[in-house]
Amino acid sequence: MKLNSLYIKSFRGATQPVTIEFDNSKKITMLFAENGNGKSTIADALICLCTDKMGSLDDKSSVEKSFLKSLGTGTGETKITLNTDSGVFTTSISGVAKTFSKTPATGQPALKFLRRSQIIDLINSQASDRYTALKDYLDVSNIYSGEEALRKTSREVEKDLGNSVSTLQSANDTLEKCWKEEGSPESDMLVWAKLQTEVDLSKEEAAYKVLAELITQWQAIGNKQREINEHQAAVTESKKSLDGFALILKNLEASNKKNTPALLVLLQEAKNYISAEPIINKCPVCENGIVKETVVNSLDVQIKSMAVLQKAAKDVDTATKARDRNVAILNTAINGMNNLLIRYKGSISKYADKVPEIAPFVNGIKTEADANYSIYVASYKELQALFVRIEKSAVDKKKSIDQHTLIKNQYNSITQNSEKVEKLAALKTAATNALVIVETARKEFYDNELLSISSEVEQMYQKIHPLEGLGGIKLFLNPKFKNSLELQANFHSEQAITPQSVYSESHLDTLGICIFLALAKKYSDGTTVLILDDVVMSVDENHLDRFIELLHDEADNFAHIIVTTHYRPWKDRYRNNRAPASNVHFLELRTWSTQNGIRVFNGRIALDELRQMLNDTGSFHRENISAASGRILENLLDFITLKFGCRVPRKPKNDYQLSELLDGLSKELLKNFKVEHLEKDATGKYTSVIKQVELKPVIDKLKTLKAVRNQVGAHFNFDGSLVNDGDIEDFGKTTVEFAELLICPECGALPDRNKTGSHWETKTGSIKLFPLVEP
Amino acid sequence: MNNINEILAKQIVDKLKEENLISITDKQLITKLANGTMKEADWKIALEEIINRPKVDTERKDETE
Repeated sequence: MKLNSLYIKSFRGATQPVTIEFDNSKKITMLFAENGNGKSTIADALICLCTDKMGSLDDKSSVEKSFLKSLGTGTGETKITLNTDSGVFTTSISGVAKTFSKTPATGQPALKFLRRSQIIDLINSQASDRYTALKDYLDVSNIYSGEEALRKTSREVEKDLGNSVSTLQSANDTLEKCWKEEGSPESDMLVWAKLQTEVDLSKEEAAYKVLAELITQWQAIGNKQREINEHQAAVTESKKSLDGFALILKNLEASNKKNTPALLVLLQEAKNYISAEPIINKCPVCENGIVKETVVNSLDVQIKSMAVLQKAAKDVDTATKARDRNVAILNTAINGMNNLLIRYKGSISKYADKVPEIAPFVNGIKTEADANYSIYVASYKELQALFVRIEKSAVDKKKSIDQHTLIKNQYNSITQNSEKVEKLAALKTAATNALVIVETARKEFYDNELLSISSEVEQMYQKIHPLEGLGGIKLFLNPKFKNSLELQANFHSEQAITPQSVYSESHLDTLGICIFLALAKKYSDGTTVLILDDVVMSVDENHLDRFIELLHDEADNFAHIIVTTHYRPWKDRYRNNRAPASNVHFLELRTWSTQNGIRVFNGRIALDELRQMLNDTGSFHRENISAASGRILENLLDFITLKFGCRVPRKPKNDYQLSELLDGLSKELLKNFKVEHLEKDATGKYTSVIKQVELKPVIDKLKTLKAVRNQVGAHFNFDGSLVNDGDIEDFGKTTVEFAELLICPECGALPDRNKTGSHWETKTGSIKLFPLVEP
Repeated sequence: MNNINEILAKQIVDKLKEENLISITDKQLITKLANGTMKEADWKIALEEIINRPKVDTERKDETE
């Protein structure tokens, strides 16, 4: 996957929309800027777009996430778009939401990032926090979750197994007890139990059912008898009560023959009639004159005097109704009893032959209730005796049936649970074995991952720190603690020590970078974008060169590496072709402001700037050409004199000037000093020499022109004004010619490798520089 | 890119198959393990499949092996 461009709008430092155009022919993009000019905004934009992290904001626990959007911009304007050769990926924050909405929702480019804070966390943290710092790379929590589920399964199966074994034991004990009670027949309990379960109990059960029905019927007759007795008593009581009230009424009527209940009724009706008439002044019977109120009052007096008679008549009426009701209930009960007796007769008639004493009942019961009842009463003793026999027989049958049922249930429970216990035991063994496999596999996998990473880290670290007595890097999980990641290294004669205690800060920095690089490399299949956000703070020249070389060596393992830095020496290594400048897309961020936002410019190497000045036909800048040529020559000659160990005047800071460096090239060296330029063969390797150039003539020419640098390019003086443009142009062009003879056209670096023992050559093999050492 | 959980899940499933503890041949178990969605019931089903397999099948398989 290749990155084409990144568009950022209203996100953190991007107060104005900004687009970063990537040169997708180059694997590494360097974003150089001094602090506060937007490097982290660009890195964070990619992190927010491609991961579920917030970039540098994740380091700051108290940061308000609403400040993801730029100052002075409205809600809903934040948008980040990454254009790649495999698709366009966008994320935005809409409304008041503080989280990103991504399009497409999944499938964003794989991205790993490293910031300096992570290196510090990794190196300085306790072992458990170190594990957390690398969690994004080595997270097997999903597997651990499955392992926990398996552990739970194992525990549940063990519990089920325990319950089933307990049930099986209980059934076994119960059955054994029954078996022993039966005298331990068949010599084997289960054989006996199996035979018992095969016994056909249907006849027994049918017989028991008949007996149970007889018992029910006889008990119903008994209940009905008690009911009749109760109703009989109620009838007797109500008759007695009625007789009492009738006598009272009779006596009242005898004492006053005029006052009869019929007269009372007549008087009440007369009063009701006269009261209801609105106007009445004649008697409706005799038609004599009457006064309504007088007649009504007179009737009232007479009616009240007959109240006792009225009550007595009412009592008789109530008592009569009560008696009739009780008689009716009694009759119903007697009829019910009759039905029960007829039914019972039908049920027991088949026993009449075997139990002759019930024959009078069986033969005597017909339809008439009173007669049937009399027969029942007469045969009660015999019937009750029969019931006792029936009941005993039923109890015996029930016991037999229950015993068989118990044996059957226990036998079934044993056979079923035996099978279940067998399966659960097998499942428990399987779960235990599976758990051992999962747990061991997880731990071994993690250990192996760490081991392989340790090996990779070691290789990387040795590239940066060769022959320093350091290394032996080892990352491993401490078996005594959960998620405890230990870090060990060698320090000269000391083995397996904690590097934090003896390594310098810059050595620890590079160690942290190597660990992250190794992890990112391990889990990248070449499509991962790697962001190194300001990871290098202060590294000396030699280590920086080796780190840059390591980064370029590893670049092929990633889709793209984006380096942000404010460390100018790193940038200047590229700018001055002391690193493979042609393999890096070089961007500079200029001063940030709220009005202008992030300002991105393509950076250029110093040689390109000189070329441009020489080709500028519009203006000829004498001083700049002279100065730039001087600096480029100092850079190239610094490289050459170091490689050949040339003699230069001893200086405290090694800040040699052009004349000193040119004079440092000895006659013997210049005699053999030459370059060969090669071209690639069909396999892509530089094998054919296409040009061989002696360098002495170029050096001699530069020596004749070197004064231009000081006279025109470095100082203000009269002599400088006397130098003609032609000499300045010649000085510039000869500088370019010298640089082009030495700098690899493919990678942009100088011939700094001794691969054969006979000369220096560029990393690609495009240029060979002779000799190897000063003769 | 192969997720670290997927790589380990495949290793685990291969080992479980090798030990004849599971017989599931599809990718469901690997996917569930890798995604962290493997539940107790899933394990039970996977392990029981071998246990509940008729013994004659196992014997036949043993013979072929």
